Amino acid sequence: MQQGLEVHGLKKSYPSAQGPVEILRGIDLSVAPGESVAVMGPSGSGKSTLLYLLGTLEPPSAGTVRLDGTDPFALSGSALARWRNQRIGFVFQDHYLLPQCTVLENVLVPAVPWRGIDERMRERARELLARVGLGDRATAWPAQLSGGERQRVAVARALLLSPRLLLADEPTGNLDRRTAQAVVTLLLDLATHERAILIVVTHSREVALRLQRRYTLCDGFLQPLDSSY
Amino acid sequence: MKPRVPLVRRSVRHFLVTDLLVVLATGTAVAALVGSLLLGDSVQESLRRAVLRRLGPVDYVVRAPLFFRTQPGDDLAFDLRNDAESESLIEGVAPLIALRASVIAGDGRQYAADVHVLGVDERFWQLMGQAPADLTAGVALNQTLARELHVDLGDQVELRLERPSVSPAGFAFSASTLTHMTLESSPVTSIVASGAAADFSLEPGILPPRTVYVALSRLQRRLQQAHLHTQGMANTLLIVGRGRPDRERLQAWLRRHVTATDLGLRVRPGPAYVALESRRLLLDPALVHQVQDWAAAHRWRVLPVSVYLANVLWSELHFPAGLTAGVGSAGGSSAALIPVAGAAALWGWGVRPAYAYVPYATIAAGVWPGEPPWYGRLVTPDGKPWTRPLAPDEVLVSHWLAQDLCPWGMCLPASLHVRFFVEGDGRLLREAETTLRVVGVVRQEGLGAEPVLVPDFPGISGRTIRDWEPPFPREQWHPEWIRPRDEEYWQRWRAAPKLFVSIETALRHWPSRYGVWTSLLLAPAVPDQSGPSASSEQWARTVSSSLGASLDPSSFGLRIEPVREQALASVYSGAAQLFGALFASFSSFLIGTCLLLTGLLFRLHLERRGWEIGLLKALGWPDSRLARVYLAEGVYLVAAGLALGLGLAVAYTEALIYGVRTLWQDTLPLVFLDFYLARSTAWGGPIPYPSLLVGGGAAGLGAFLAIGAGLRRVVRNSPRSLLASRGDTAATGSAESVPAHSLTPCRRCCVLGLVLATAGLGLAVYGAQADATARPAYFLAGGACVLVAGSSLAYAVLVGGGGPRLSSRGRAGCFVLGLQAARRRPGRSITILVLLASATFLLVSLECFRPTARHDAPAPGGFDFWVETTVPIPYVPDGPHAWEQLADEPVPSLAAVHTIGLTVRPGDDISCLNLNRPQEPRLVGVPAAHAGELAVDFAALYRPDSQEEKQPWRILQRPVARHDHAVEVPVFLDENTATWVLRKHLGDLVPITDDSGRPVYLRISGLLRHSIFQSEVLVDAETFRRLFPTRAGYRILLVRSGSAAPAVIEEALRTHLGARFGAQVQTTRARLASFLAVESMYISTFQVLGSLGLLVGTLGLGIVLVRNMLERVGELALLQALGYADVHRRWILWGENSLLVVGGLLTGLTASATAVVPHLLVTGRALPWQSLAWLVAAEAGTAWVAGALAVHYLHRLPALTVLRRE
Repeated sequence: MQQGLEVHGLKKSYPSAQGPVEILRGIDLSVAPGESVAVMGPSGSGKSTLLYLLGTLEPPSAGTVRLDGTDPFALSGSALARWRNQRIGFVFQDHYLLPQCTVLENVLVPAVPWRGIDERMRERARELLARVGLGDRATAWPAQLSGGERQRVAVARALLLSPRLLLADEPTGNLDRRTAQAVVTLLLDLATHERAILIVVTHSREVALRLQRRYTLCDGFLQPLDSSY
Repeated sequence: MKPRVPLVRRSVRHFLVTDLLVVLATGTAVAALVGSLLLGDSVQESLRRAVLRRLGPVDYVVRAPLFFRTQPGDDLAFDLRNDAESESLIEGVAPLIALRASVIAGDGRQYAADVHVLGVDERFWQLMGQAPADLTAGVALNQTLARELHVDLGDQVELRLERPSVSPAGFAFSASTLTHMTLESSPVTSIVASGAAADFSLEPGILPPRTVYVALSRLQRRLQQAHLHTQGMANTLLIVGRGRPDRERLQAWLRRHVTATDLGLRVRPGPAYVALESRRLLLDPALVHQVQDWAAAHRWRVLPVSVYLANVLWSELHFPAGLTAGVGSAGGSSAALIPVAGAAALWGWGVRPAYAYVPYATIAAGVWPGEPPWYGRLVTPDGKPWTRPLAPDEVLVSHWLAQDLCPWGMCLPASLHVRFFVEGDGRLLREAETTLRVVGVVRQEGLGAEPVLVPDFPGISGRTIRDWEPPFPREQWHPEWIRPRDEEYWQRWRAAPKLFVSIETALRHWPSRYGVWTSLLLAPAVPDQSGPSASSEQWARTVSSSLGASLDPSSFGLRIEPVREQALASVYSGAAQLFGALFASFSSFLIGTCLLLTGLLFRLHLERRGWEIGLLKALGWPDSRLARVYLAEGVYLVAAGLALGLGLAVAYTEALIYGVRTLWQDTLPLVFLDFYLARSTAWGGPIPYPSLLVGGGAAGLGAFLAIGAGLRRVVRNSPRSLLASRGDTAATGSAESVPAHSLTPCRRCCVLGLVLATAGLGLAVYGAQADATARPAYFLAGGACVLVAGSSLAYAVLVGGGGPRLSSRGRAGCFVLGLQAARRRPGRSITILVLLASATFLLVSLECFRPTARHDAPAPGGFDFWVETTVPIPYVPDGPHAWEQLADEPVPSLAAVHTIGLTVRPGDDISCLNLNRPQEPRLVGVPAAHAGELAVDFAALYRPDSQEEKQPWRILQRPVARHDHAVEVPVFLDENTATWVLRKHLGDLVPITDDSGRPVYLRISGLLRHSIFQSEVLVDAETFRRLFPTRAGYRILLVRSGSAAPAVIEEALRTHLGARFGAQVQTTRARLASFLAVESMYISTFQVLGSLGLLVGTLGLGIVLVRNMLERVGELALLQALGYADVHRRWILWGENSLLVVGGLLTGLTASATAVVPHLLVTGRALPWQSLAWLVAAEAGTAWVAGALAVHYLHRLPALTVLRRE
C-alpha cells in the first residue's frame, strides 16, 4: 500500500445561474508522510475548497484522492465520518472551541464519537496540551484564554487522534505575528513528531516559507512556487 | 439625533423575518388577553340582551301572594292607570296570573315540566306590543314549548297547575294536601313564535322560557273552582315605566290605590259590625296589631274572633227518670242521631253510639259577653243576655245543638266531647279530642246564629253540606255522617257557630304558630261617626278603603319590584362579570408564555446584532441613547403586534365563543352567547371598546417591558464582547456565557432554591391542616415555591460548572456533550425549563384538583334519586300504601324504596350553572328527623359545640336569633356555591325576605363539600315552615332504591310522578356530576388554554434550539470536520433538548407533587394516573417534536459555508 497523499485530476465545480463555475480544474499532488505543504493564492482561488476536498468534507466533481492508498470517497455516511475522524485533523482560522467545555474537554472532543474517552486518551490530551504549552490550563474555560492560546488548543485537538493528514485553513489569520510563528512552529513540530502530512492554506509568505513545499493555486491549477519565493 | 428614526425604520425593514416573529408573539399575547376580555364582554352583553329580551318592555312587577282585584269596575290596574300621576310615571300596566305547571301533550307520555303559565287578557298583549293570541277556545304556546312537545295548532294539551297556596300549609284547614289542579284538556289555538310575549318571563334563566298563555278569565274561574276565592283577581301586575321614576314614588303611587281586598283581606258587613277576614284564614298577629292601631286611631272598636271546625261532637245521653237505654242505638229513629251508616263508621272509628253525635260544627272563641256588647249578645233561652265570662273549657251551646244533644227532652249533658283536626304534616291530618263543660244554652238568634262570625273556609260552600269540598284529605271527609237536620241547619244558618268558648279555650286546644284569630269584628266606637244613617255596608266600604290605605302593602308582600334593574344588576354583579377575568386567568399562561417569547425573540434578535450594538458603543453612543434607539424599534414591533393582536383577538373570541357554545353545550348551555365588541352599562349606555383598550394596553405594556428586559441584558455587554460575538456572545465570554466567576450566582441560586423548597414544603404541610376553602391555595402556593426552587437549583447547576464528565463514546458521549451544551446559554435554557415546568405544574395540578365522581362511591347524599316536581307533592310517599294513594294504584316497584321529602321556596339557582348574581336564593327545608340520613361531607361548621361537631345537622335547629325587625336563621350551603356564586364565607349573612315580605338573614353555619345541594340553601324544615308558611307540599323527593333495580325505580318514578306532578327524575350521581362537570369544564378550558401556552412555549423551545444551532453552526461544522457523523451531531442536539425537557418535566412534577400529594392525602382521592400519564406524555411529546424539528433543521445548516467564510 502506497503511503502518503495522492491526488490526481481533482476537479470541483459549482452550479450557478450562468452555468457551472469551475473552481479546481485538475489538481495533481503527491505528499509523503512527514512532509509539509503550503498552499497560497488570491482570495477566491479555491484554496479552502481544495482543503475541504482533501479533508473529505466535500466530494470532488472529478479526480481521486487517496490517503495511504485508500480512496475515502468510496466510503459513505458514517464510514466516511469515521475514516475522517481517525485520519484527518483540522485547524481553522477560527478555533471553534466549545465554550461550555473546559480546555481539556475541548481537546478530547474528537474522541467522543468513535474512539471514546478513557484514561489513556486523557493522558494523551494532557500531553498534547503540555506540548502546546497549556499544560496548566487544562481546566480553564475557553473564554479565559487568549486568541493564541485558543488556537493552540485547536491544534492540540486536531492532533488528538494522531491523524495521518493535518489540514490547516489560515491557522494564523487571526493571530499576531509572534503568536502566528509560535503556532506554525507547533504545527510543524507536531506533524514531524507524528509523521503526519501537514497542508496549510495561508496568505502569509512568512508562514509558507516555514513549510517544505509551497504551491500557489491559480486559475484552478496548483503550481509549485520556486524556492526563492 | 435626527437619523435615529430612519435607522430604526431601516432596521425594522432589514430584519423583517425576525421582527415578524416578535410581532407574532406580541400579537398572540395581545389576542389572548384582549380576546379573553372580549369574551367576558360578550357574555355580559349577551346576558344583558337576554334579560331585556326576557322582560320585554316590563320595568316593574308587583307580585301579590294574596291576589289583587282585576274585575271590571274594581280593578287595581285600572285605578293605577287612571291615577293623576300615572302619566308621568308609567306607560302601561297589565295584570296577569303567573303560575307553574307541567304541560301534558299527546297520550300523556309527552310532558314538559316547570312551564310558565300566564293567565292574560288583552292588556298583556298591548303591553308586549303585539297582536293578541286567540285564547277564546283554547290555549297558546310559545314556540319553544311547542317545539319541545312537538305540538301544533289544534293539538290538545292538559295543564297540571300548581295550586297557589295562600294559607299556612301547616294549618289544618289550609288545604295543603291540594297542591295542584288540572286545567282540562284544551286545543292549542295559537303558537306565539316571536315578539316580546314569546320571550317574556319573570324568572331568570339562560334558556329560552317555555310558556303557556291562558285567558285570564278562564284561569280565574279555575282558581275559583279550587276554592281560592280569587274570582276576578290576579297575582302579578306588570308595569312599563316612563323614564326611571323613583321607587319610593312608585310605591306611594301603588299604596294610594291598594284596598284591603288587594291585601288579601275581606270585609263582610255584619248586623252591628263588620268582620275583617283574610284569605290566609288565619290573621297574622302583626296584622292584628296594625288593625288595632288603626282602630285606635280612628276610634273603632275591635274584637278578635277565632273560629274552628269540629269534626264531631258527642255527649252521653242523659235520660230523664224512667227513660232507659235503647235510645240512641244505631237503629234509633231520632233525627238527633247520626244516620245508621255514619254511626257504623263512627263505631269503626272507636266511638260507641250510646251517645248523641253531631258532625261538623263550628266553634267560635271570643270575649263572650263583650263589655259593652257592641257586637251583639248571646241570649239564654229565657231571653236574658249571657253575662258571665266563660272560663277555660266552658262552652255555651246553641239551642239547635242543645236539641241534638238532648233528644226526647233529655237533660243537657254536663260535658261535651269535641274531636277536631290539628296541624298536620303528612298525608292525613292528625286529630285531637277534648271535653268541654257545658255551662249553658244560647238562643238561635243574634250572635247565637251569626254566619258572619265564620270566615270562608275553602270548600265549605255549596247548596248542601254534601256539596262541600272541605280543605282536608278526602278520606278524612265523611259526608255519610251528615243528617237531614244538619242540612237544615246549613240551609238556615250556614256555618254559624254552634259552640261558644273563651279565648283561653281556643288557645289551649287549637293554637297555631301562624296565629289564632280568623276574623276581627269592627264597629265605630261612636255609632254615628260614619254618618247618622250609616249601615254596616257603609262601614265595610270605609274599613276597606281606609284600612287598606293605612296598611303597608309591602308587609303583605305587595311591593313594586324593579325587575329590570334587579335583573341587570344581577348580570353586572354575577358570574358573567367575572367571565372576562376568568378567561384572562385561563389564558394567563398563554399570555405569559407569549410575552416571554416576545422578550426572548427580541433578545435573540439583538444578540444577533450584537456586533452592531458593539460598533455603535465603540463609536461613542451612550447606553441611554442606544437603549432609546432599540426601544423605538421595540415600540414599532409592539405597535405592529398590537394591531395584529387586536385583529386576532376578534378571531380568538369568536373561537372561544364557538368553543364554549359547542363544547360546554351539555354542561352550561350558553345558547344566548353572541360576539359583541362593545358592551353597555346596566342602563344601556355604550362603553366603547373597553377590552380593546384595557387588554391591548396591558398586553402591549407587557410586551414592551419584555422587550426592554431583553434589551437591557444585551446592551450592558462590553463593546469588545459585542464586537467579537458575531451573534454568539457565549463564545466570547459575554455576561451570560459560562463565566469563571459563576460560583457566586450558583451559590445564591442554591440558597434561594433550598429556602423556597423548604417554604413550599412548609406551606403544603400547613395547608393540610388549614380551612378547606383555603387549602388548595396553600397547596398551590407550596407547589409554586417548589417550582421556583427547582428552577433556581437548575440554574445553579447550569451556571455552576458541574454536570457529567465526557467519558462515554459514540451516541452516549455525544448526548453528554449535548447536555453540556445546555449550559452554554443558562438564561435561555432556564427560560425554556421554567416554561415547561410551569406548564407541567399547571396541567398536572389542575388535573389532580379536577373533581371527579367515583363510580364505586356510595350514592351522593345517601340517596339514589333526586326527584324535583313542578307541582308540590302533598305528602311524602314513603311506603307502599302512600305510593298507592299517590299513584291511585299499587306500585310494587316502589314499595321497598325509602323516600324523604324536602320543602322548597322557589328562588334563584345558586349553583355555578347560574351566570347571574342570585337575588333570592332557592331555599330547601330539611326535616330534622331525616337530616342524619343525608350523607354529606362538611367542609366547615360555624362555631359548633361538642355535640354539633358530632351531629352537624343540629346546627340548623339552633334557636332563631332576632335582629331588630329581622330574624337570623342558620343555614347550610355548598362550599363552591358560597365561594364562587354568592361570594360569601362561613358565618356571613345572606339577606332574603319571608312569605310576608319581612327581612330574614340566613347565617351560613355550615359548608358542604361537593354535595348534591349546590343549587339551594338548606334550612331546617321547621324553620322553613315558620318563614314560608304557605309553601305546602314537597317539591324535592330523595329516593333510596332499596332492593329493586335502580332502572326499574327510575322508570316507576317517571311513570307515576312525571306527567302528574311535572317531575324531573335524575340520579343523585348524575346531579352531582352535572355540578362537577362545570368545575371540570372550567379546569379543562384552563388546561386547553394552558396547552396553547405550552404550544407557544414549545415553539419558543424550537426557536431557541434553532437559534442555538445557528450560533454554533461553525462548531457543528467543525464537529463534522472532526469526523462526527450526522447521527452524532443529532445526539448532541437531542441531549441539549432532553435536558431542558426532562428538567422542565421533573421540576414541574416535583412542584405538582408538593401541591397535589397533600391534597390527595387530605381528601382521600386517588391519583388520576391514566389522565396524568397522557398529559405528561403529550407535553413531553410536544416538546420533543419541537426538538425533532430543530434537529431536522440541522441538515439545512450551511455549515461548510460558514467554515469557508472563515
